[in-house]
Amino acid sequence: MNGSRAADGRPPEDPDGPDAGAPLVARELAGLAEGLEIGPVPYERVLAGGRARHRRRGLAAAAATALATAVVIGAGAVVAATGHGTGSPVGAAAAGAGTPAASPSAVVPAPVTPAATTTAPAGRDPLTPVRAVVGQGRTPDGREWQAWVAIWPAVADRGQARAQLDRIWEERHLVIPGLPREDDGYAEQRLRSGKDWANLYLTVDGRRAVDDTFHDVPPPAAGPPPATDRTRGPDGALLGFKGGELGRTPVLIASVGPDVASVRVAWSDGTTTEVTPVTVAGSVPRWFAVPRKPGAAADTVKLYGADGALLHTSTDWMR
Amino acid sequence: MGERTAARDAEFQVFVTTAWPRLSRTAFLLAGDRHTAEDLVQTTLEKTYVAWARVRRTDDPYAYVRRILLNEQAGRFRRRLPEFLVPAVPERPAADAYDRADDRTGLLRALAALPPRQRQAVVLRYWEDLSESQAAAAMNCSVGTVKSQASKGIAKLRAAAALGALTRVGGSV
Repeated sequence: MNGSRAADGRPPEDPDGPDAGAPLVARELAGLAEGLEIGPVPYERVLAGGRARHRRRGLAAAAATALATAVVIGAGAVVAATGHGTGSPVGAAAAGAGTPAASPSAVVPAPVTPAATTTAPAGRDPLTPVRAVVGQGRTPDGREWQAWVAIWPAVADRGQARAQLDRIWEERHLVIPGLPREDDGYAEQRLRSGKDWANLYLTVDGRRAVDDTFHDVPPPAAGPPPATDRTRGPDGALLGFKGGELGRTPVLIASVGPDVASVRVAWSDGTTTEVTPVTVAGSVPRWFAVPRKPGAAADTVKLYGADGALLHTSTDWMR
Repeated sequence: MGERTAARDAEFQVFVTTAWPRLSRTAFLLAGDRHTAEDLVQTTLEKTYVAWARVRRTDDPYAYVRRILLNEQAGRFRRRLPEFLVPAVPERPAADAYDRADDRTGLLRALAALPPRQRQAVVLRYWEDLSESQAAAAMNCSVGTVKSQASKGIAKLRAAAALGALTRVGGSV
């Protein structure tokens, strides 16, 4: 994932050699790949597709087993009828018939055991955040806003922490010219946290707004978070004040546990707004965004599970 | 849903959310466009779900899943040879944020024009950053094959005007 690593066991690049240009290719491939913006993870689709494949595979295996059993029984009948070993080749044929459908290798390849493997969690790159739009809409004056979450993976050493802070500074400095650089003490703090960092921000008509915030979120390696209950409400921020891009309709961007299927905001004028949290690649919490309704305050923000059960009620947001 | 299934699904979800970005980027380089890449990754992860009990026990689940991805991509190439060999990039009226990555069409086109094994070798060695032996394991071939396929691929990319152009405009973003 970088352009500077020397190939294993090879001398440095020969400018006229067969692999001349490889570092450039590595760098350009990285540019191409990292330029790809990653959208929300379609986890529900993956799960549904996986379960369907699982069912089909189970049916195919059952059918193959039934066929093999039928043939073996048939062969047994032949043996019984003839009194000698004609059943043996039939039995072999039956095993052959059953193998392709029942064998896992017909569905997926054999396990890989590379010579030198690492257990790094799927190669997360602390310098390449995953970005996703978690909500969008229009302001009262017709401008389009989008709510973004950028997940910066946890860093593994001081160098990464420093590089990540610099990368983030470069990005934010474009819209906040006076932004000071973070010092090394902060990099050390970032390293010690061991957490991913979620940068929440808005764009208005495609331009990044000044107002943004960072939240620590557990890295996926920490495992699933505990179930949402009365004590665990949304964790997020109301954005759009600084810079005044959104005027009197700031947007709440917040995370909830993966067991939350919908978020319902009850407004003081008697209406409600319902949004569905989305899965963001690299983030165990799910994310949602909801704008403050013009001329109204939120009475409650309620979190519901997939079965419709009320998991949590907040009365602190957008009042 | 039983507790065991729920635990298995929770574990699988963590893997999916973690692996999705990198798998998507690798698939993008292998497939040549975002939509095919997303489809490729989704199919790969569906197959991973079926084999999850085995995948989770391996030393490096990501390596296992990457191999599923490579096999899936190779299978699609065999089924859709004509389209894959010439991935013409149509003119689009307006590029959205996702499509901006496609603007580096020169290298992407040159990459997509490589035979699939060369493309896999180049992507595994120079984007996934695998050693020759790791790439050989992923491609289910010998180290020598990886070396030759990667060298041929690099040579073709070097010969392609796109790479020269990229050098002239200052390299990567």
